[in-house]
Amino acid sequence: MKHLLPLTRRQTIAGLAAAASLTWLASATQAATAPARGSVSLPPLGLRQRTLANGLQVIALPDRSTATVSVQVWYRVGGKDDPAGRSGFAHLFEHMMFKRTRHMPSETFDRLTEDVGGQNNAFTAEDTTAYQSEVPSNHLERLLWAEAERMSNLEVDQPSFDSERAVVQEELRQRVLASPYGRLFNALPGYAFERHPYRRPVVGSIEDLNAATLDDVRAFHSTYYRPDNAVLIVAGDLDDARFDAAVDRYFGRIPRPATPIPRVTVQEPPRQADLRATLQAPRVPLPAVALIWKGPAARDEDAAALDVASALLAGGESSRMNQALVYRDRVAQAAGFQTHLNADAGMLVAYAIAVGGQPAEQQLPALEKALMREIEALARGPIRQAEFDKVRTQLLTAALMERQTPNGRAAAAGWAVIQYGDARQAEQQLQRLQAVRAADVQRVLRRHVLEAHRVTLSYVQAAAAPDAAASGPAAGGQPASAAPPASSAATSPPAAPPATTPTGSRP
Amino acid sequence: MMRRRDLAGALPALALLAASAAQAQPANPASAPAGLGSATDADDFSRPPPAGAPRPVTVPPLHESRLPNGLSVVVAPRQGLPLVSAWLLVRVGAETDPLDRAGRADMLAGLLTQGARRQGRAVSAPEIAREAEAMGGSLDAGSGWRSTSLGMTVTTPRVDAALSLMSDVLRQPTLAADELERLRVQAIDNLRVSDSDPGSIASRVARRLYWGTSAYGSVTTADTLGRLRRDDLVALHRQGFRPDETLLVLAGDLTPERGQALARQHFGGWRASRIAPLQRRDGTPAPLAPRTVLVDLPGVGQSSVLVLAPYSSLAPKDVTELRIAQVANAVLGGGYSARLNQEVRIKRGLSYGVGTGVEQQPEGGVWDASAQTDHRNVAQVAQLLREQVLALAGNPPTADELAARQATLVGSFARRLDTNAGIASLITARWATGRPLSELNRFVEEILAVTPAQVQAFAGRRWTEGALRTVVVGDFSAAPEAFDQLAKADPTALRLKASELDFGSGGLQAPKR
Repeated sequence: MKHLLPLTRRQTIAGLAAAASLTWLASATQAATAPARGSVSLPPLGLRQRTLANGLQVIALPDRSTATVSVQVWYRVGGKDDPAGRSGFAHLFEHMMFKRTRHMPSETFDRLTEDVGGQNNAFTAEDTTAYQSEVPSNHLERLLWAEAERMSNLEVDQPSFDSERAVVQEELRQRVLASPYGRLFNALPGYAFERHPYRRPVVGSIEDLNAATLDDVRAFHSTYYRPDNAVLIVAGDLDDARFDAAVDRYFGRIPRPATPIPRVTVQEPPRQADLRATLQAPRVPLPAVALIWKGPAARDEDAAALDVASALLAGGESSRMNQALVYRDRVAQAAGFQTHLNADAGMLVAYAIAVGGQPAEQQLPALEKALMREIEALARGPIRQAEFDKVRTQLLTAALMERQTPNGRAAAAGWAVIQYGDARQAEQQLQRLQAVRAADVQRVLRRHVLEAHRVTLSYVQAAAAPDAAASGPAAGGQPASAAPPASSAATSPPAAPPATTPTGSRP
Repeated sequence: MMRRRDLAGALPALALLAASAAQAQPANPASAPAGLGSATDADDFSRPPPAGAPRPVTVPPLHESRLPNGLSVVVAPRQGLPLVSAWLLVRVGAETDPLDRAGRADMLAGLLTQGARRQGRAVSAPEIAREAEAMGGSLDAGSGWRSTSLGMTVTTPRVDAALSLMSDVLRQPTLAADELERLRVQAIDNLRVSDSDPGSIASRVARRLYWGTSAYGSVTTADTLGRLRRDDLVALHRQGFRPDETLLVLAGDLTPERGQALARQHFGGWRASRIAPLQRRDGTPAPLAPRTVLVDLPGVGQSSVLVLAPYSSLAPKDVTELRIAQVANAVLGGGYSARLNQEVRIKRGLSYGVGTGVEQQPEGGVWDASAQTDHRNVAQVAQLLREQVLALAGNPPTADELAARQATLVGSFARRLDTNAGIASLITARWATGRPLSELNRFVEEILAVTPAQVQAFAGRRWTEGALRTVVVGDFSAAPEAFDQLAKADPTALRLKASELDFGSGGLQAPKR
């Protein structure tokens, strides 16, 4: 699971740096089998797969050692499928899936999960929307019934649509506008991608959310929420025969529509020139810089080596960037390298948040140089075997930790389906990571980073003090020209500028 | 990736949740929720099928022992994956910080991993980080009000090496002056970031507002961090870090015998201390006068609204009161469909979600509900939160509502048994609060025994108009009417700019000259 937007949370000592290491650890969610060294291997997931006549893909991961069962439905639709002028729609729709259906009042999923000791949640990413429930295993069939019911019989009404749209807008404010670095992370895809709809942040914009209608909701459901566009994944305490019979009973009845499923086919071209841009925001506690490259798709042969490179550069306190920029030179409060590889195309981001007390115009160029110096050193210099062993062990341990819970095991299979088109790839992902060699790391860094064009994005405090403007608070960061400050040559703003608040303006 | 809701803060703080008895189940788990009967006919797809017979939840046995030097050991074997979580807990926390040196215990925790003596030689912070991460995990140090912890999760073959590192870091940290300086600068930078986060400001204001200058009202600032000296940390370590105040928890893929042997090997040689133990400052709540505090944070993208109410203290003698309080909290904030989120998010779309939290100390406790919202909604959200807290005394939970919230509490506890870290956290929470591990076996039945009348009486006694406090942090200029409305509603209201906040005086502002 790859977070682009760090969740709002209390900052602790090293809290910012911790956020930097989440991404690469998350990239170890799919894993498999024995490491090259060490005496521990990853137990196989033991998955069973079949496809119903209506196209629904079903994956079971039985484990009788728990009394819990995780029921997940992953739909092949995500932020990239937002209709034109409706950025954020797939995510808004995800919220609507908890509302009324023909046979369920709104919030029935809470009745069936929370109220019996379980839990439910859902998330929307660029390529997928996933619904995840966890319940005591004697409630499994009730959840299967409910998932089939909302796949086929969603009945949204205007009042609940209006109220949930407001919730999603508050979510956007919380993640993007109120979080100290929310605007920066939200702006990254708009600078990384030039053509692919990945340029629009999954959370969307206030205006596009306001433009959405109830008809959009109905059309989206009938277009994408169908058995041949879904994967049902159940992990934990289940009996194979009973489970199969229940799946046939509840899902087998859902018809497969005759219409084709629309797919995004846009090819992202290579970047032709370097670009510099500045993002100003009303409250920037410490300035930051982000270096943004295009990256390959998740299933590209270079993906595993890029994940290992990311772990070497930014995975944990002992990583190269943290040791050099944060610990040794004390020029950064946090530094990171993210490989955000989606199904169709990816982005790579190196970033650093400055230390306090000095002007941004002096600090940011130095941070940019320091980030590039570490990437160059990894791409061209020696890499010790011990460093490789460390990263391999980290990836294996993270995968094991994730597999402690039915939710984690099901999610590993889900990501493999979305990113590789095959759940069994969850078993091969770690093998690929373990097989990466120093030469591979250096080759992919040269190819995708050192020999590629990049966007350099500065994140700085808006010149005007954040004060009572008659029109209310400053809106989202305004892309502005940069380097040199006196220049009037504005850079082309991204097509998906950060969200703005249209009106007057926890831990 | 966007989630339907953030998990953080969605559930009540579970610090006092205890492991349950095996076989314990929520009341009548096969019952269908209200308004949604079960289908009895296999071809009826208009209703869900009935639930099956529940499988008992099995809790791993916990093996407690003590080394001759007084160190407590708990081993929780858990079959399955080749993983072990190791946690060390020492009874030293922020409650011993002098008011003008708030952050002392936290700084000590941070410094533990930044240099130590290993096998007779000094090792640096980078060496420790490299060694820990080469084992696959990270060495996590942290501190709370009552304890300092070190934790690692590693694969089974690396447990021995992990404990060797953890033992040296805990017992023989270097506490070097230059490392203190480095961490101090980082902590002050972190505060700068927090000073742009409305939720973080609200929680710091709330702490001082409720506890005043007592032990639990201390707020870390750049000034208190600036006063810390190496000697403060050395003295705190020497006095507080001792085997008779330390717990080792090993949860996961190992036998009780192996766990005991590892404890003896790595901690048996730690000599008992003869120094008098640390004194805690008095923790009696001393609320400030304002019942409403409004903080102006120009340019921030959203407001944070927080409502405080008294809560039960850490009362080891009366566990019934504790369970009633936990259920009362769950009725208001225990889950997505609980009362607060129902009113604020589900019915009105005013926030991404309301979270509640509790804090329990020996002399008192505090409950809070918080939500972030558009500046224009602050008065409405504050009013809704306050109304719901006050309404519980006259509007007790129905039988269905109570059963659902009890199930939520029991279920969230049961899920923690799915991970080594979850089991370990249940054990360490009991120990840090001085409560017996045996309490874990009664937790579920005690929760399920709470009645609507008990919840109502609890609310009537504690959650009264005069006892509530409200804190709002947002951009006044974005919605002047909403902030004016809040100020006019309470004659004691205090309005100030975020830049005027000053925790050094014992209040919220520097004294007027």
